[in-house]
Amino acid sequence: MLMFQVKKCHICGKRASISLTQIVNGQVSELALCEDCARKNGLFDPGTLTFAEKFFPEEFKARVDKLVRELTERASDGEPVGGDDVLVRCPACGFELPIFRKTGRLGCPTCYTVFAREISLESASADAGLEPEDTDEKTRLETALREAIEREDYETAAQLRDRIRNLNSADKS
Amino acid sequence: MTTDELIKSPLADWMISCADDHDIVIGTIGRLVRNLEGYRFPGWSTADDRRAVSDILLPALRSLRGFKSAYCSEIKELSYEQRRSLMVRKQLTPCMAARRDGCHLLIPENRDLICMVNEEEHLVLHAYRQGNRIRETLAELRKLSASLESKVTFAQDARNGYLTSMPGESGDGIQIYTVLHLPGLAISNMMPQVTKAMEKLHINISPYYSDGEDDTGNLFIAYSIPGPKGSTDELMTHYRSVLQQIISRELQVRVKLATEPGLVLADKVARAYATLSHALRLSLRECRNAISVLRLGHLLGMVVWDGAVSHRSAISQLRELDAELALRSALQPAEEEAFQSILRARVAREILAMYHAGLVDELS
Repeated sequence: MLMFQVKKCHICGKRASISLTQIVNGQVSELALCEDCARKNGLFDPGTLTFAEKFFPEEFKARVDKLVRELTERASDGEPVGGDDVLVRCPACGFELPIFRKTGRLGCPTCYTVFAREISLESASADAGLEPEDTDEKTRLETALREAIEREDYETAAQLRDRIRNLNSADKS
Repeated sequence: MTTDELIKSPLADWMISCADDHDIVIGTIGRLVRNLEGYRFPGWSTADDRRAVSDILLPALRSLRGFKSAYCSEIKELSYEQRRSLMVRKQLTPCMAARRDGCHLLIPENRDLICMVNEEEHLVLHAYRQGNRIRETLAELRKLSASLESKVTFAQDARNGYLTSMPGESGDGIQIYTVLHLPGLAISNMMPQVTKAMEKLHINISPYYSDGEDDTGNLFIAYSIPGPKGSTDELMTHYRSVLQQIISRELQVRVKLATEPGLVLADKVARAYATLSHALRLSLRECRNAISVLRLGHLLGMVVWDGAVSHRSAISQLRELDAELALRSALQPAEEEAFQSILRARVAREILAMYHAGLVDELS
């Protein structure tokens, strides 16, 4: 569990004073909260988070997990949450995601874990562009789709599914 | 070894010797990149970070065989002229030449390897070999990496392999480049076609002297673009077979050019010879292109040398001339180009005269 500054609270949209990042199996969950929302959800005073983390890690983790789950469900139901311009930074080196998007470079080895999803998206699109023309594109896309589903990368999977659909409709016409 | 001694030492064998009967594959360059676990990559690091990385990597490198009395210098200690000279000698990359605190250059006694600490990655090794030595270079770099891994911990994970600052380059962390001399394809204006075809086969081929203008000296550098699938060994097998196709094509084109009616190639060779043996001023570009055409003319039997000069040493002489002239240019300030062009022309005239180079009777 790591702390750093963010822009807007995921619950109310006010300026957030804390951000919590969990890294589980390479997948990064983020939660940005203002001080009020953090208190309301039993996530203690931001100033005591390190203390809480140290002495009640399980309880703290369970609360964060629950809140992340609730927010994710609300977002998938179309309910607006605090904003999408969250500043994502690597807790180890302070490297920011927008810099990676701009330069294609990372700040340190830990960035590979923090920005795992973004990196796999980049490599998936690069891979698609690098395939030789004489391979069976449909087979390749289907393999890439299976791989994306296996690693639960649904955004890439959706893009690949659409490309397969386009290929199928082009074949029919 | 001091920096001045290094700069004044003879050019590396791969830069001047001829290892290939057809003078096509000039050399093989292997690049190995590694990063230490727990430290920021150089592009995102502070001077303190870089010094900490150097403190770990330099002793590890010095413990390798052949590194006991290796040349070592912090980049900020090198003058602008020294950096330029080392770049021409391929002992420093442009990226490294621009670095400052905590960045070190290490070159072992035999000078066939350069080690840069805190270049684009924490450790960048360049191995230079004469001719087509892809397999050997790959094996040597892997051996070096294994030796270093017994002393330091490199950043890696199961999914990405060795981690690099650019995720697209992570994996084996080894790239092999080949320097090619392709005058036949260049003279026939076939390089754009070849480049396009190679791209489809995952091979990038671009001018060796990337000065932002046209290619000079008909020299090109080729490498296998890391693909989405396949290990480095698979990529290298594919690369070698494509390289063979480029060589065959170059040889075919040379024969075609030589047998073409109208003395088109013979005219080019004669003009190149006349330029090098009679010009009073020569730009580096003009000089390089003339040397390349003369090398081709020599291989096709259009140029004769002193009886004592073997086929390979004739080529080597021309290559050395090319490299030496480039080095002299690097050592002189840019504003003295007029002086350099006169000097270049004089050196070219002297070398051709020294070896009694001339055109075969049929051409002269």
